[in-house]
Amino acid sequence: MSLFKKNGNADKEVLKEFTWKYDFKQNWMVYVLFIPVVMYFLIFHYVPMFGLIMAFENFKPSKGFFGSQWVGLANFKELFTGDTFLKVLRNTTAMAVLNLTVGFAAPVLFALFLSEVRLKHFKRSVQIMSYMPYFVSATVVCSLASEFLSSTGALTIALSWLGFDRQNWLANPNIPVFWLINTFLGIWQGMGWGSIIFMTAIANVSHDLHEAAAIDGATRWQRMWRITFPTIMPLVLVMFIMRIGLVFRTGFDKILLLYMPMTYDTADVLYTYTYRMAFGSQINYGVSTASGLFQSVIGTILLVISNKISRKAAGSSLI
Amino acid sequence: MKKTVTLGHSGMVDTHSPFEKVIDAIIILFMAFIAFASVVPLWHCVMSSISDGKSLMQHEGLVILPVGKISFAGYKLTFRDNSIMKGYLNTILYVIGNVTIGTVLNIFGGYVLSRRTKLKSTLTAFVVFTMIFTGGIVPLYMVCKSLGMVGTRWALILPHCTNAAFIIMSIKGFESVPKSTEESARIDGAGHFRVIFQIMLPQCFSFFLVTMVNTAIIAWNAWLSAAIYVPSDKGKWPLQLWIKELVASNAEFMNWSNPDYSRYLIQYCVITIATLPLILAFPLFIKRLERGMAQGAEKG
Repeated sequence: MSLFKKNGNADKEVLKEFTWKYDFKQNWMVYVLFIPVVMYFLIFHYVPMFGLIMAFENFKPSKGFFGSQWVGLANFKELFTGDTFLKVLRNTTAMAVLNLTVGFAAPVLFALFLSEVRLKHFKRSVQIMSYMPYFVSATVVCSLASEFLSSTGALTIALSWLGFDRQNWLANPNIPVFWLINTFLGIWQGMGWGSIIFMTAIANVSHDLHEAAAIDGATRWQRMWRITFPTIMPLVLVMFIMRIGLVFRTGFDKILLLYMPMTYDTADVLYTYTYRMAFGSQINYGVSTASGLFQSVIGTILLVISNKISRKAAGSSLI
Repeated sequence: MKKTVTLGHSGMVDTHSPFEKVIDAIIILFMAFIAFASVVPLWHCVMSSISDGKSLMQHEGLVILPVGKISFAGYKLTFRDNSIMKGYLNTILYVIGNVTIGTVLNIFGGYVLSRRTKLKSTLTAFVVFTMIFTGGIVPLYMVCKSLGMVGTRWALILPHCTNAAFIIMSIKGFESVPKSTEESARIDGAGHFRVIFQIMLPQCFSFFLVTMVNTAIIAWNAWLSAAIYVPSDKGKWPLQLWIKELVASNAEFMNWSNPDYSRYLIQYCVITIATLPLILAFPLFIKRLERGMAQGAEKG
């Protein structure tokens, strides 16, 4: 490792001594290749960032970004004082926290327990079957959910054995119901796929350590918690921190397909609110952009903080 | 891999106490349950799609075997008009478009940012910044509108064909190729394109397979872009939007006093058509995909 590092530093030293002229003479072709990439990121990522000034305008599509009336923070005032905002914020946070705890733990535990299975073919079959839901599209996942959770659906019937009333669960406006459904769907879809890197890491845990511990009389359970778990812990930590950074960004698209006016109180999140204000029945581009910007800023703060922690704690980072 | 196998059987020292055996059995049962839960919803759909429509409507709970007589009436109804087929073709077109353009951008981006150039860190920061901060859906819509892309197929191909994470993955891919191979090719007079496509890509293809599959999955799943950019032009709808509309309208119409069972059946047929090919195809790539995922995580 140290050898590579030395080389890396030497590279940097050499690069510093290059003149710009030499660099362009050597690498102009490389830079030309980058033009399409620059174009893509400029048009579809950087220009929309400038479009965020809509959040400070009474935006009229006919007048454009620069012609619309400047209203300062009025859109934010409207957003923050509206009675839906607090609910939306609560729902977003609740589902993000569930996603981070239960949703994160599921693939790790699945990998830990699956790697304890000794029947080789059974293990592989379970693994491959667990990947399948990842290849099912969000619309299909949601239509399956509405089918299985309807008043005649299989899951509703299974839940009725446990003493719950038979009902259309997706229309249930009580507090944790929709949050749990959303979390559960995320786990169903992502657990198997998310376990791949943990499975690989577990497979790479030193065999000698296990053997030594076994000779010293450690049971399999002791070995699992004292050897396997600590060895994959750094990876788990990095993945967890990365997930904190992304938790306000992803995983909300299914809600748009699942929620209904009856469950807006518990299902509405910033993402869906942004969408409804821009493409729904009562359009308010200014408030919509303001809410999108708010979500983006929180996402950025989380990402930057988690990235710093990750770099300090584990020496590797997302960005 | 061999290590894990022997590891599983390190039972030379293990005492197989009854307690451990019970726990083993519980784990195996639990894993079997997970496998069952992963597969059974799709099985339910496939079996429902070849069921008899009328008895299916009265059926409650899981469909393990076709309800009533096996019939393919649902598929006949689904293909009666070609809108579903057209949606399918549209989806394939969007997937191919996204993957092609995205992969070209990933290859160029990854190659350039893994070279030793003076602008390397600046350009990397330029790409990575888009990961930290985003404009959101509304400004993006406005940009596409001003480019005249709203209502065209381009709006479903260009905006999401790549992203900073895929470019980073591609950089890792190119960096995983030993420098010496590339340098010797350069000394032999190979140009950039030859180095990229003939020397480097074959060696780090798993990385690109991962980005390609992920791009394809994103494009395959996309229904929201279609709902935003081509809401009224049904000829350009991808399959997913059809599914969404079918399910949404079915939910309403199930509440009618005397619903027509065929629409219920069509829903299952469309879900089966939309899902089965992918499920059957993915085991072919699974080994390479797993390798790519693991490598990407290691290098991270």
